[in-house]
This record gives sequence, structure tokens and C-alpha cells, in this order.
Amino acid sequence: MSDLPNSNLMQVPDLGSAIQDLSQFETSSALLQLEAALGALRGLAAELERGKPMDPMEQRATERALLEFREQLRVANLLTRQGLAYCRNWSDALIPPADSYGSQGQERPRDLDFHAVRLEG
Amino acid sequence: MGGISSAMISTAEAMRVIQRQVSVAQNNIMNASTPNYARLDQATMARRFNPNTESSSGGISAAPLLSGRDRFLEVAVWERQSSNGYSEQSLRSLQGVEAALPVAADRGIPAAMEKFYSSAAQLALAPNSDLSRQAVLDRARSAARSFNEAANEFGTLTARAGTELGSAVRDINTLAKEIAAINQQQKQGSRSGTDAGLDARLHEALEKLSTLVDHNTLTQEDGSVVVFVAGQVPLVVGEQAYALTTTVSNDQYQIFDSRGENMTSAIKTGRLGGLLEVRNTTMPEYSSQLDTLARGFADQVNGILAGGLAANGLPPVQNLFTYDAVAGAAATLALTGITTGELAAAGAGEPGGNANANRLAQLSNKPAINGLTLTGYYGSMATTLGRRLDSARGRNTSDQQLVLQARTLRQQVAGVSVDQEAAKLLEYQRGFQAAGQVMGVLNEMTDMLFSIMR
Repeated sequence: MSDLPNSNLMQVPDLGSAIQDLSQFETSSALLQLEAALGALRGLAAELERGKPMDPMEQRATERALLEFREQLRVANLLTRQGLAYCRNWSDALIPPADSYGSQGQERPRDLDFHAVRLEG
Repeated sequence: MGGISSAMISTAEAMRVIQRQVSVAQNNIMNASTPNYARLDQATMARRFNPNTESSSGGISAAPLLSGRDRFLEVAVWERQSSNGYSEQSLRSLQGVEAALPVAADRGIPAAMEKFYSSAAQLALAPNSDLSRQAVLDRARSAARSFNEAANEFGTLTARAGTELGSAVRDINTLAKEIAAINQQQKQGSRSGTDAGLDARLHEALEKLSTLVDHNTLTQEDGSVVVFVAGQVPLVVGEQAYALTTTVSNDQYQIFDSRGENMTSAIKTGRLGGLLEVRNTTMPEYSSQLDTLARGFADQVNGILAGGLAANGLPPVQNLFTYDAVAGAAATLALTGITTGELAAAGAGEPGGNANANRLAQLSNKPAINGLTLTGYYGSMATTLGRRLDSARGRNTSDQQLVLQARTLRQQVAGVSVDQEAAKLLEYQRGFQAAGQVMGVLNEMTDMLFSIMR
């Protein structure tokens, strides 16, 4: 292990913008933010493995930052699961299943009750 | 064969349809910032066309107006709002409890108890000093006051939750009346088709209702809506609003429907659900723990003092602390009329000594409740509260984002064509799937980072 200083240890990524993007259905932008966060975490891991051990204060601060990151990740994950749940329910609502047509091709009354749709989250 | 006149007629009809389309578009633009307004579309339909007859000259005519409101998206927003109303209320109430139970070493009950034990240690050094005895009485009074203040604060929070509950129920009843009035107007004008203004007002009221209590609706053929709250309790049916009522029984706040059925246990979400939990569960729980602590403190101190000797060498004639267990130990904890001389600093059989003062000072390390010291018990109360607060904060953060997500979805999609909806759906689905995969990797990376650091 070299004696490189751990100067960038505090750079735990922030997922605030990705959360905003996910809540506003800006999935492409959210994906870019998440990929950037992945790059930052990889850099952090490489630095931790190369650098000298942290002093206790620095370690606590980094652990705290990582815990906050994990909490943000939890919210981002929740929004993603909820987004997918919307898409699934929405898709069911948009595209009638095959058995919803009668023998003459007429659409049967739909059984899908939107009140019964339980959203995840 | 169609002549010039039939061509003129169909062109005139087409002009009228286009005029209607322009009016509808204008109305949409003017209502762009009207809360809960859903855009309308003037669809057209082809008229019968037969080039060989005058009467079937073709062209277009106006179809019924189409509302851009998507029921699925409305329900999604309501559900999220109810959940957010609940978590916001829970968080606010727990923050109030936290303020009443400070954990800083120099504040509140633990600090006051520690100062009392320190004064007892000082008394042990000078057991017959009037100044030391007075200091013990002063510190005891401060400790009692700290308990009183925390209990009063809890009482205020409990009373506030009760007031807010009453106000929330009144708000629900007002909204129910408003919806019933809209239903009436909707029925009267149902033959003339969709009234976008009424529809906007109805959905504004339903959205406000969702922050207070979870509800669902059924639209009738005449355009009116039936509103059910907390499952299947009817709140509005046609032009009739069914008011909810409240009552307090055995210090529990209860909500009744218009038939007199107790529906309290069915209310799980919305601000009303949050307030019921605070008023009926959270506050009584913390008040009871505070009373246990106050009782433990007073009984422990009184017990030690009762076993010692006062300044006159005789057993003490009265306790240091008094409280009313029925009215609440923390709220009523106070000093008796004890004098400095009556304080039993000496142990039994050693008049003028300091054994009892020493025992008093050592109480800070003696288990008193559930194997915990009094300070430890307070600490466990604060720790549990801290965990609950963390969890409430996390849930509220998620809920706020989920409300935003549901609203965004409604705003982005409402009113676009089915083709556009399908295209957007596909785009979102792929985006969320990819995001989910990256998040899986991020989660693993975070675990790995924690393991490198430990």
C-alpha cells in the first residue's frame, strides 16, 4: 500500500439530482447521474485501496456520507420501483388484454378497476 | 349528385366544427393555470358521404368533448397524497416530542437529575451545612420543574393534536358539502355534456380530501360522484353529504360516520390517520413513559431519605417529593413542605453522619426501571424516539418524492393521444429498468466500500 494521501475521500456522490429526475420522469437524465455516481464510487474504492489508512475522524465522516448516500439510493430505488409499477398498471390500462374482445371483435366492458390498483412503494 | 349547395352546407358545418375546436383550445389556454383543470379536446367525426345524394354530402361534424383527465393518474396522485399527509403529520408530531425531550447533557430532565445527584454528593461532604441542604432542595425543585415542563409540553402537544383532529374533520365535512354541491350542478347540466370548470372544481376538492383521508370515488351516469372514505364509508352520495363526527371516550379520540358507526380503526392514512395515531397512541405512550420516570425518580429518592435520619437525629417526618399518580406523576411532581433540617443526610444509627447523602448521590448509577438507571431509561426513551424520527423523516422524504412523481406523470401524460402515451410509456419503462440495474450495482459498490473501510 502506498502513502498516497486520501484527499478525495469526502467525494461520496450525491444523488439529489437523480432523485429529482426520477420523480419527474426524466429517466435519461437520471441514468446519466446514476452512471456518474457509479464512476465516483469506483474512483473512491480505488483510492481507498491505494491510499493510506484514514484517521478515525475522516473515516467517520466518510461513513456518514456513505450512509447518506445509501439513504438517497433507497429513495431513488423506491421511485424507480414506483415508476415501473406505474408503467405496468398504465400499460394494462392502455392495452386491453386479448380476452377483452368478444367474438365479433367488440370490446367487452373492462374489469380493471383503477381503485383496486395498488401501487408499490 | 351533390351540388354547389350541398358543398356549401358541408363546408359551413366544417367551419362551425373548427370554430368549436378554436373555442375549446382557447378555453384550454385560459385555464392553463386553473388548479386541477384537465384539457378538453373537440374530436370530429365523419359525416355520411354519398356523392349521388344531396342529403349525404359528407364533411365533418362535432363529436362529444373529450376530457384529457386520466382516472388512473388521478388515483395515483390521491394515494400518494394520503400517504404523504400521514407521514408529514407523524414527522411533525415526533419533532414536537423531540423538542420536549432534549438529549443534550446540559438541558432538560437528565441534566436536572444529574445536578440533583451532584448536590447530594456535596451534601455528603458537609452533611450538617444548611447551605448544602438548601442546595439539595433547590436542585430537587429544579428537577421537579423539568418533569413538569416536559409533561406540560406533552399535554400541549396532545391537546394540539386533538384540536387539529377536530379541524381536519371539519375540513373533510366542508369538502364533502362542496362535492355534493358540485354533484348537484353536474346533474343539472349533465345533458349539455362535460363542464370542464365543474370537473376542475370537483377534482380540486377530491385532491384536497386525499391529503386529509384516503378515499375512492365512483362516477355515476349523471356525472355525479360517490365518495367513500377510509374504505367503504360513504361521505358523499349524489347531492347528499354525510358528515363525520368526533368524540373523546376513555381519553381516546374517535371518529364516527353519519350512521353512528365508529370508523376510527379504518382510518390509516392521510393527515387524519397521522393525527389519530399521534393523539391516541404516540402521545399517551410517551406521557406514560415520562410518568414512569418521574415516579421512579421520586420513589427512589423518597425511599432513601425515609431510611435515614434528619438533622435532629430522628427519622424524617415527611418525604422530599410528592406527586399525584392519577393526574400524572410528571405533571404533578413537586416538593413537599420539607425544610432543610428535615432532610435525612445521615444514615440510620449514625446521627450527624453522611451515609444517606452518599446513597442519594449514588442513585445515578443504580438500576431503577427495567434494569436501567433513571438516566439510562431516559436515554432509551430518547433513542427510541430518535429511531422513530429517522424512520418518519425517511418515509416523508420518500413520500414527498412519490407525490411529485405522481403529479409529474399526470401533468406530462394527461390529454396526449394513446399513441403518444404508448411511446412515452415505453421510454419510461426502459429508462426505469436501466436505472434499476445501475442502482443494483451502486448498492453493491456501497457495500464493498463499507467493507474496505472496516
